[in-house]
Amino acid sequence: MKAKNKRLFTLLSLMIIFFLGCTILFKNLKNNLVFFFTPSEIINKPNITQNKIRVGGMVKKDSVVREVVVKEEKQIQKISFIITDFKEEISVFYSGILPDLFKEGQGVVVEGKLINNFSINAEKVLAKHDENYMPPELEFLNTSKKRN
Amino acid sequence: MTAEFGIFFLVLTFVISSLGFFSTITSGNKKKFLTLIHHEKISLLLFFFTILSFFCLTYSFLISDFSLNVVAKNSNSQLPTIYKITGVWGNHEGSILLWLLVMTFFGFLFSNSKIPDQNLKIQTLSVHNSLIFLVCTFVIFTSNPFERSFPPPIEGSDLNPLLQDPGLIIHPPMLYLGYVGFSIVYSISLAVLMLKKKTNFIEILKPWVFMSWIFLTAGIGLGSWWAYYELGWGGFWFWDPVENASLLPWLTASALIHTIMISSKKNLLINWTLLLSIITFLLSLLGTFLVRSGVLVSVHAFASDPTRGIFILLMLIIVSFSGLFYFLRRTELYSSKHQIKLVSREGAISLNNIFLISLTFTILIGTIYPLVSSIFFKSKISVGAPFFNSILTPVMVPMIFGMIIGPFLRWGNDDLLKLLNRLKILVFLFLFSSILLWYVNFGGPVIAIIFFIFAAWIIIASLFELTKFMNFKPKLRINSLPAKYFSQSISHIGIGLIIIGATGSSILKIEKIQFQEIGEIIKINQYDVEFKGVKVVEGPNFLSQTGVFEVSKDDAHVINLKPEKRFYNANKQVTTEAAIYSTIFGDLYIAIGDKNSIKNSVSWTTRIWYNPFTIWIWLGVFSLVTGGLISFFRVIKKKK
Repeated sequence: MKAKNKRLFTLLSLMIIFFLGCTILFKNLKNNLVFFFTPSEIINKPNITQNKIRVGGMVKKDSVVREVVVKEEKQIQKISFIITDFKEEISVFYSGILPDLFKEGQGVVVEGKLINNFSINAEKVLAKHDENYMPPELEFLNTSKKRN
Repeated sequence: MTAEFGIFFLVLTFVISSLGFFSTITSGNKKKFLTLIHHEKISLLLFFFTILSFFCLTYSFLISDFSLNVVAKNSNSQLPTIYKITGVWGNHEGSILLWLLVMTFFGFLFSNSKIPDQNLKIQTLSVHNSLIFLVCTFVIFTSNPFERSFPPPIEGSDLNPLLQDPGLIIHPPMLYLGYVGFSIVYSISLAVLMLKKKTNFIEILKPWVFMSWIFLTAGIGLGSWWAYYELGWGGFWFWDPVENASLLPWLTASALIHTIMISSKKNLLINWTLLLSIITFLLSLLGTFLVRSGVLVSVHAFASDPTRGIFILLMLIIVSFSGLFYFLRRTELYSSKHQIKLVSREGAISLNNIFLISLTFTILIGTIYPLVSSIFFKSKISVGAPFFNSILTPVMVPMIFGMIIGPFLRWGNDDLLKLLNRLKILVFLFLFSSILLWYVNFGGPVIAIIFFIFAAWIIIASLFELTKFMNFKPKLRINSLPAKYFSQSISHIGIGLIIIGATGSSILKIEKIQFQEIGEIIKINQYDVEFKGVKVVEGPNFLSQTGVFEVSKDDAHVINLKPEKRFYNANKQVTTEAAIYSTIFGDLYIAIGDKNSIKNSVSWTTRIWYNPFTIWIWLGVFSLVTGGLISFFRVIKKKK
């Protein structure tokens, strides 16, 4: 092979590898995306097909219920609470330990699978780590709080 | 008054560094705007005034001057003195001032080092002082730490309790020493590209690359250690955007450490070394942008305002454009016609670079994709840890093989069959260790055993490399062993140890969450964990509920573990302090949750983990840093 052809060949094969890599990468990325919704979005858009989603809002006051269930001779704590964005509400079911900063009347993001249009089975509950810090996803809470 | 002095010193830094900026802009002119002595004086003054300014802020924290916004928001009169000091960098403004301080310190160090090429030194200092000018502008106009509030509050709102921890005393400064170290690497590279004549700069660049890499490695290691014991989630790496942001420059810096060897030994790939130097600093800046602009959801994010983000973005654009502009203009100067053979040491290192860069690219995409999509598609998404884990494995496997074979390949050209012949004993050792590990079997899935085997191979190969060298010189003393072999082997062993630790503590971990009554025993691995009760302990600025757990193994007492739940007085925040019992084989990790009273019985939520081999991760990081240090001192010694 001539030097020029060889170079062209290397370049072409490198590009093919690069594009193949990118395709795999983005496909993989797409499968692992977790979309974020507000309670209103879930209730008004009833065709959410994603496997796993995140819902964020404020924990409604006096909505946290803790109960203990005995399952296979083990005590399991079941927690349920309501997330609101001041327009619509979503009930959350969770069994596990709540983060330190989880409080009624505070912002929270939960990750899990929707049971139906108004409730979700949470696998993770994420509360913010800093008092003053509001995740960009929950920014709407600040504005709607002021309005109310 | 202290605050006024602080801002005064900052303004002085700003004005003096602007000289460097003008000198860089006019560097095309024949007549130089400033001479070398000027530049050296400037660097000294910048360091002097920044350190004074930093002392002013520290002093304000120490005397709890709540008329300063930063102090009022991040300190409290009850706070222990050590955390008053670390509170200085536990917030946005102070941490950027620390960044500036480190930057001027490195500039000062560089101005005092011996550089044979005077023009290169002038140009480097002028570029670096321009960078200082940009950062200083940022501090003064968007994040002034000396801003006052009126009327001053009587009491400060306290430092975020998560940050009140010994790990946080050293983690941020370490990380910054790493990040900012690359600003010198960038300055040297840009200066080299701006000079029209070819110069010998690789040996000048080397110590700075090693030093920054060492600090970055230690900083990331400390951060992950802190997350492990302070956050109480039982893990050490969460693919949090900010963790990723620190990993990106680390990956390119690791690539740089490998290519700079070829550049210095063979005078090859010099352009690539320059490009990597520029990219590494860009990624450090990008990391800062992601953290400080508050665009990402993360543990590290502070409450922030958007002007900062725009400013850092602007800085990022200036720095990247000037870097890439000069790089493209001068590619011919250092390009070489020499072709690198695939089966050779250079070939192996090049392959390592390709994989490291691919890994950097994919992690970058995963980290900024949510940001891009929220701007362009208005959809709020996040990329989960499974994505990063799924790309890590396929890239790691060829890299592990490269790490095993690479060091045994000869420079220039080699032959795989001959190599195999040379490494007969090693191949036998591999087979033997694999069978042994398969037989021992830690009880996890097959993938865990495969990773253990890989890690064992890396470690065996690295040790083998050392012994092979010993064969040449039977009378061996430690100081006759070339540091080169030592540092490489030790660093590679470090990677092997990290793989073992990460595999053990992620795939093989055992988790038990339950209500535990007083006196109840939970069995985990070989341990019996008995819950003795909870007592209330008063700390300096918090109230602690301390659980007492008696751990025993085969009816013999091992240790009492005391995990805490702390209630901080000032801002009513709660934190979890895990208690950990570490052994070589694994960590017993206990965290305590809420009290529950049901049907006359009182119980507490407890989380008990058994994390196999976690300590190996920290040993691995230590090993990496040691390897880096050996290289660093070798390079410095050689220079003298």
